[in-house]
Amino acid sequence: MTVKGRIRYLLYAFECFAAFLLQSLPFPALELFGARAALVLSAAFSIAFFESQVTSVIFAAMCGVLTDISYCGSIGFFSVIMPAACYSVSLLFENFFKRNLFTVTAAAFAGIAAVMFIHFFVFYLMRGYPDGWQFFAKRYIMRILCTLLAVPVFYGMDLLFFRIRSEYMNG
Amino acid sequence: MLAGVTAAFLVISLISVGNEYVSGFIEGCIIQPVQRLMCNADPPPKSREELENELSRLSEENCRLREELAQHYDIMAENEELRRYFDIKKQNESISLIPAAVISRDPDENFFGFVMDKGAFDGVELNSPVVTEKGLVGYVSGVSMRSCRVTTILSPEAAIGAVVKRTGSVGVISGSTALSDSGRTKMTNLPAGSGISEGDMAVTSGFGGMFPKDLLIGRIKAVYTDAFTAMPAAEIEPYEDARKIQSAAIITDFSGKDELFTKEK
Repeated sequence: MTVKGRIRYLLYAFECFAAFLLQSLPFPALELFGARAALVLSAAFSIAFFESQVTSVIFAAMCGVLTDISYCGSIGFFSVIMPAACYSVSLLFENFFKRNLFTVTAAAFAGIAAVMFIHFFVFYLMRGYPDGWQFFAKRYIMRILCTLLAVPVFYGMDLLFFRIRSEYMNG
Repeated sequence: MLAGVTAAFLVISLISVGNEYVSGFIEGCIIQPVQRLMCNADPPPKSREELENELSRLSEENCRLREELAQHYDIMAENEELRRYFDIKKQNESISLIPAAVISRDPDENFFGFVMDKGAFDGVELNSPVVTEKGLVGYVSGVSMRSCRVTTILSPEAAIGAVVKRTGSVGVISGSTALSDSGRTKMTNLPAGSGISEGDMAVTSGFGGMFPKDLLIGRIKAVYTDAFTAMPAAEIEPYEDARKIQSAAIITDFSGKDELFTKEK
């Protein structure tokens, strides 16, 4: 592969970093009914729709580590869960699904919902907080929808990168 | 010619004696323009070497002044920040504060926790209280070198000793999942018959040495009986909305800090 073909990795890295910066803005921006989109999750899934499992896992791990360490935490939840989720998505799209906006949105919804549910289980239910399902319905569902709304944007960007790469590869 | 000029001069002098208009006219129209011309006359041209030296000196001076100006702006901003917390400091002189800015908010954080731009290098320690001029916001629950994570009083993880100022009833401030969305928290473990009512003010009790005494927390919005403990509890509306703050101060030291831990040792 030419250097020009590899430039998309740089663009992916930039995309993930920009998503992270946007999602962690200190003021209430990109919020919907008090819920914030986990843009890093949308970006990582969008990359997984186009790339091989290895590439998907690398970028998902990068996003996961970034999310974990940036809130003064240790490498943990997101560093593990995001590569696993993106690996599954990449595998599905390489072998079973044809890529279009409908399948991408459906897969992203399933992936985001799975990650959020595990997050809810680990960081809410396991800590023994009360009114779990009420809280899930109030907070997490809105967060899932917000995150899902960002998927078409990242998908569009990654589709553009993918076409640029294809043009270079086809000469 | 000379005689004519001298005669004219004498005539003008005689006329101008005691006449301010004439002397003023002469001064303004003849003498001052000449004086200005003399003052503004170009100095002898400088050599190239002199000019280069002067240019480098001025460049250095410009650089230095720019740095000083930047420092000046920093100091002005810091002063402005510190002035906000002057009242807290006035109430409790032993308090040491560091102003800090909110640099990020985690979308996956359920109880509006945030990250501030001061860390261990700045003297921030685990469990340091975080306040604004309006009242208590939370405490530091994670520290890295240059930043710290703050858990707000809206979180159920918080357990802050508080006292109702009017009645002296002691309780514990701890967040609730049901109230956190509306920016409220609750006070539990209140003694039966404490006589608290809506509008009472809750402040930190200072017990345990984690928070200084008398930091403002919030106002009681409702009093009810806790379903689990069957003890009185109160819904508190914090004076500061932790969901929206952009900057706050971290209390790094105060008299009675870590009292309980020291006694245990």
